[in-house]
Amino acid sequence: MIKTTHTPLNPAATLRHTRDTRFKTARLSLVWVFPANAEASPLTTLLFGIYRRGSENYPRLALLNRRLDELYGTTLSIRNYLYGDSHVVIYTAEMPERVFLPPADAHMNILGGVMELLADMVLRPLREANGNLRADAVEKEKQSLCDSLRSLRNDTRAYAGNRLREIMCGGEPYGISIGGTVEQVTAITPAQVTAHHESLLSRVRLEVFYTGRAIEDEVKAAWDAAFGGWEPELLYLSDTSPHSPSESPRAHTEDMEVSQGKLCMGWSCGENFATLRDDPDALAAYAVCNELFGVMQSSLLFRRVREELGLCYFCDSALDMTKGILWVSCGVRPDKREEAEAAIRAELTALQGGRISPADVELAKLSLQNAYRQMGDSQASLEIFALNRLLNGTPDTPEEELSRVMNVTLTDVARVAATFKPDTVFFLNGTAEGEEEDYDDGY
Amino acid sequence: MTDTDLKPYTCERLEEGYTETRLPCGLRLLVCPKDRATYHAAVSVGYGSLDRFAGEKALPMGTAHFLEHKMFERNPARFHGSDSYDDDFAACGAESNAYTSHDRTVYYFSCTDRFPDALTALLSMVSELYVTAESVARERDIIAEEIRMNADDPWERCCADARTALFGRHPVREEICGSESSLRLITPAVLREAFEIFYRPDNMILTVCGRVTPEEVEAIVRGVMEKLPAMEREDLPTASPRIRVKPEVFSARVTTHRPVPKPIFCIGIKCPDLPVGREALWRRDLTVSVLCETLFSHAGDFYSDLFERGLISPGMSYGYLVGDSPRLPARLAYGYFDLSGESDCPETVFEEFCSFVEDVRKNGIPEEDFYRAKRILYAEFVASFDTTEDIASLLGSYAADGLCAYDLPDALDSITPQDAWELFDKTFRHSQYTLSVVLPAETAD
Repeated sequence: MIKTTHTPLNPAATLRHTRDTRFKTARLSLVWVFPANAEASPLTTLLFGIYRRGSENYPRLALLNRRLDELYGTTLSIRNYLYGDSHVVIYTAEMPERVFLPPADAHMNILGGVMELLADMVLRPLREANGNLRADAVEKEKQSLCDSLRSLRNDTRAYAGNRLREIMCGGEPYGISIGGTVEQVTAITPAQVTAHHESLLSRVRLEVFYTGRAIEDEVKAAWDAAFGGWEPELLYLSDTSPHSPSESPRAHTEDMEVSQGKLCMGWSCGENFATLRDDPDALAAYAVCNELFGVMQSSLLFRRVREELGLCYFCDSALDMTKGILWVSCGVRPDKREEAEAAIRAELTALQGGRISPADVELAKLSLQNAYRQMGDSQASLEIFALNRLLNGTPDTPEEELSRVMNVTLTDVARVAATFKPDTVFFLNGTAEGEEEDYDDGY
Repeated sequence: MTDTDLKPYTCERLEEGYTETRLPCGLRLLVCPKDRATYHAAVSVGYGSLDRFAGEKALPMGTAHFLEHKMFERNPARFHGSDSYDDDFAACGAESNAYTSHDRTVYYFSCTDRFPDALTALLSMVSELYVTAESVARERDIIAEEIRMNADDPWERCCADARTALFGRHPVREEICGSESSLRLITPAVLREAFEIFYRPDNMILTVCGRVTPEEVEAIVRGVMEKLPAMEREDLPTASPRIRVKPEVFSARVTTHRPVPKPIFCIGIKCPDLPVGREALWRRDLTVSVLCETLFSHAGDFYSDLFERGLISPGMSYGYLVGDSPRLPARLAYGYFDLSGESDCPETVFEEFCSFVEDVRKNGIPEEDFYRAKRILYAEFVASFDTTEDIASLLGSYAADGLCAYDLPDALDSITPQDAWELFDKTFRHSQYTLSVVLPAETAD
């Protein structure tokens, strides 16, 4: 059994250390958690982009990237997302374990180097003589963020899903755009970003996950050498509230000149991790319900909407129990939208009425069993599970959660399915014709 | 072991090992025992989108991919009413899927329980084809939606347009899924013909990674494959279409308009003069990867200069593809690099690219960057041994090319700055460049 230890690093940061020698690479993640907020979150998004542009010891992006390359091709990725009412930013470094390097390089202190680089980026970003963060870095990152906000439309599936979330959860922290709007970002000044940087570093919640061959003392020593002396206060986060369901179902349509429409539907159940903290069996039933509805390979949506009706290439569901929302996403021709929507609703209605086979419920449980068991073979999956558990306040281990899943019955599934009420539908209406060409084999 | 020869391969530096054997039915079997909860198995069939020819006759574009979709189907009358192998995978809690590439079709699953049953389903699935006119018609609609989904992706379109501009008449320029028009030519008879030609054990490789021994896997394979009716086997048909890969590009510019907020570009660079033979082609592929990482990585001068001047968005990336199909003449081998990203001024980025190349031609490839690139590629290689899925995929992919993945570190070591320079010198020429640009729709005339 592989164990994870928890050690305070300072009043706001905790090391979650897992010594695991099964992998060829080690993984270090710095997870920053903030309350999601329409004003502060775009500043936070901008700031973490600015950190990545250069620091005191690595004043240019190229020098920062070269340092990563020197650390034997360590990769540094950033994830920036909403988790319920929280805004999560994660820097993850993946580095080869020394033991697998060529003998001439096996002495290299990769972990220490990575920790030093991360600390330099975050604690010592480039500044002007007046103490503000460098104006050119701020301006370029603003431009980059504005570009990425505009480019969200390039991925029509993600764009439609985002629009549904923003419309359905408008007015809630979960309904914000963490990057803000182009107008909002354009108006940000270096002084505002600098003030945000100072405030952010003075009060944080930071989770440091390490999985690899280094023992805890080595990781802690690397932290102390790089981040020692930084003593922020702990930022307390309140529980995420469930989504407040809309009084009557809403529908929104937006046109775009693409050939495939994207149908996104949302239902809400009025419960979430916080309200069900004392009822983990209900959480397990929700997970099985979603797996059966639109996740597992032969889910109800896949079998009916794709395989039987041939309406789409993809039609799947996702459950977000931070807010108690069931999402469905389906790519469909605009003229088949109504047929697809009716078919999706009919499958959920059948599930709510318990008109499903017990064998299908067992298949959904097996599919989840497979996912839980595979989790132990992936550093990333274990890290995400542990992080979500911290944020949700759910105490169960993967094994305990799995055991609850395996006890779920058809009646449990129908009971939780019945709590989902239709909330909002968003349709990205494709207005372009499909590209028809005369086919000429040419050979 | 039985009457087959088991060939062991080991990589001491990574503490890795696997065995390979060819079974009497012709199937090649690779097994990498690994103490993990997750089993991963993949069958790679030597049939991809490049294999458009059944002898002298052309099969419709997209046939290999269409067949991939239909292989999951089965005759419900023989399987207690179940019409899909998905049901067998689901009963094992396994996740299964498939993909079609230029030179192969791969079917795979991951599971943590009932591995023998899931493997039996995988092998049975690739051993027989059951299609009806109705199910083919329905699948046509599903694949048409897949085609539309891809067609709406401006990045994918931009890179596909660059590929089309690089190559004239060559199947590598075609969409793997085919087109809505070519789908209409794919009938049950076409699928059966393709299946008969390509889906045979001696054109398949099974790779397994997990808590299992080669003997255990072989017993399962024999249980399925040896039950199959004996078939008369001729050699796989080779085709010799009248196509010539010219060193220069087919078209130097492609511009389209789509609903994008900012222009997207893809600079394509065609590799001429590809060597003959799998090993030589692989070595060329490796040299291409070193050269790309040397010149275009995010730590390099080209990227950081453009990025810091605000000429490109952060996501600019490079890609490369060097390959062929063993079922096609060696002269049809293909190779190219591409550099793609977002920029308000794609033409300026292209000019900067040309000027950067001229600087490298004048000053040489920076040795420090060259050795840095080799270390990065070694680190990526090490990282590909972390999951059973990645391991099986890597070993299977090398085996399909007649190679062993463990040879990569030595091969990488053996690439010299001179090798990179020679490749650079013959590849980076104006006649071998193309620029594909997707402009915002509102800028169209």
